[in-house]
Amino acid sequence: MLKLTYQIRQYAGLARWLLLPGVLVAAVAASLAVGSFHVSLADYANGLRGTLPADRRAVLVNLLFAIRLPRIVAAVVIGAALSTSGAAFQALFVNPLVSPSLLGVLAGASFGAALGILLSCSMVQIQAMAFLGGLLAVGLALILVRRRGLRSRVTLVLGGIISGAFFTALLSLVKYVADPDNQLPSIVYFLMGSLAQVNLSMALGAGAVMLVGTCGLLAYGRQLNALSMGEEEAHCLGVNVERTQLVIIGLATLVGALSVVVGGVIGWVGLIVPHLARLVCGPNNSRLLPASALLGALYLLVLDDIGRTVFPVEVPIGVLTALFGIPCFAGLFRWSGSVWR
Amino acid sequence: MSAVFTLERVSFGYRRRPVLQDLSLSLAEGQVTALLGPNGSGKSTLIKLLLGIMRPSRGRVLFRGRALAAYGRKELARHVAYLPQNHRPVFAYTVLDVALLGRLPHKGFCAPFQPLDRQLARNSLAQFGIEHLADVPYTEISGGEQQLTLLARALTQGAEVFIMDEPESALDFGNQVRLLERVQALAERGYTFLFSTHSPDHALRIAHRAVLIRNGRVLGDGVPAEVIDQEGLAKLYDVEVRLAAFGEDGRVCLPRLHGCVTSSQ
Repeated sequence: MLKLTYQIRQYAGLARWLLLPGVLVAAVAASLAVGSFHVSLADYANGLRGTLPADRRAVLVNLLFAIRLPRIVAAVVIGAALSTSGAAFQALFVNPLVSPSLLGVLAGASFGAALGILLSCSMVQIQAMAFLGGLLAVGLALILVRRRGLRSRVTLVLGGIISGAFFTALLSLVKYVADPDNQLPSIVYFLMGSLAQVNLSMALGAGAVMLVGTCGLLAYGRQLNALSMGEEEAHCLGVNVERTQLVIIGLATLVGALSVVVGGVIGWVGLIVPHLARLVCGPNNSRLLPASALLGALYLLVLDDIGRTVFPVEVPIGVLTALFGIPCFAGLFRWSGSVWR
Repeated sequence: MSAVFTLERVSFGYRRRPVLQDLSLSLAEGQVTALLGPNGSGKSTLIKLLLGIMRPSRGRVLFRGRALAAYGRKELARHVAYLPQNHRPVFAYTVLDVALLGRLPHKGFCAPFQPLDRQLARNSLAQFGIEHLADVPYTEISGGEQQLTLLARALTQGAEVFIMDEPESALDFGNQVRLLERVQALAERGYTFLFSTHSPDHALRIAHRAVLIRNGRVLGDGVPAEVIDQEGLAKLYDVEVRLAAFGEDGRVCLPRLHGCVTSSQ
């Protein structure tokens, strides 16, 4: 009898696992069909079968590959990457209020991008500077606490706060000296976060790297469980504490900086989605990390769909994640009585 | 009796402050050793040296005759388990998840936990009578049950040496006694224990050997009934203590309170 209930529970768990990817696939399909230009999924099917008139087919191909698919890919990958690195950071720093921007990656990338705009660089150069800025900020945070040893996570947080504040100040300086008619609005729009400018090569190129980084983080579930019990305990369970910390910070920084390159600064996802995922599957990181990835992808995809359809003017995704995220977080807190669960 | 751990003239210091000075010690197989000393005496540092968390600045630490540094982390974790002081975990992992962490040193980086691993963890929980808590969040069980979960995790690790840092310090009286019973029972099955404690009574009750350290030096080392006496405790804690014998059951400490007239009599 006990064995039977155990088996049923296992199957129920399996069903729950298939549910999230299923919903995500459905959401991707639905996202292909929503937007200001009306196309149904049947149109896509007809296009594939070749039963569509040639001119209509050309429009459809253009819409799919130039507009909708890049956005969808970007939303899915950025959502998954930020949520996974958020969940990993929350376990690593044993603090459920931590987000992927803890060590200054978003501040650094913002500064890099703003500097690129100030210097009238090309788009590719701006993206490169955003990426390097993100790496630089986290590098600075690590160097600041190097002497005290990487093992002390409290000092690491302090390093991140200092580095983040430093790059935020630099960003203000750039904004101040930027041309207010032209450059300043570009900087502000870039920092709001938007997936409207994403092109397919960008989405696939950066997306592939972010996907690899995210999968790398997913492999560390058990090590993160051990680490969140305490560094000494983790060491005594055979975990290489220092290397694991460095790899997780490195991967999270990589995907965080790339997310800014692709979509600008998109906040709140990496903080909220891990909490939602914890409600679904509990705090065990072996399950929490993949659940965060799937849920984050779904969350950002749906918000982007809302952003480009519900309002008369397209609303930047970074604004929406904050607008939806804050009440979501407040509700979560009131409902569960704690953000610790 | 063969030595499990050997410390040879070990010194350790943070910055310029020496914590352990020229300390030599060896732990015998199958024995329960109690580590006694005032706060800041170097007990925790000694434990960290044994676990390989820190390296001595001078001297050598040997595990089964081989330098501790020569062991890989995972290899050592299959032999030596650490039970920390009662901590307050943040995330509500289930009791089974916590016990299952004991299988980590047996697994390759990408090898997932199998049903067999889960079964081993469940078996360990069952040995301490807490199998029914397997799916309960670790944060919602009592301090005593948490210690039992950590013992179960240590068994799941396959360790035969248990190193415990003040395991009973946060427990109520009943759970302290039950924990001591568990330790004694495991020791009878051949497991080796080292535990630091603030209670000389606990050392007298279950330890085969007591090590007294203060200011990083060994003040006394031997059979608890001989080392933990009026003189030894006076040197260790600067307090006056009388020991009362309870026949076969051993002895207990009774501290004398100065400058404090009690209400009775």
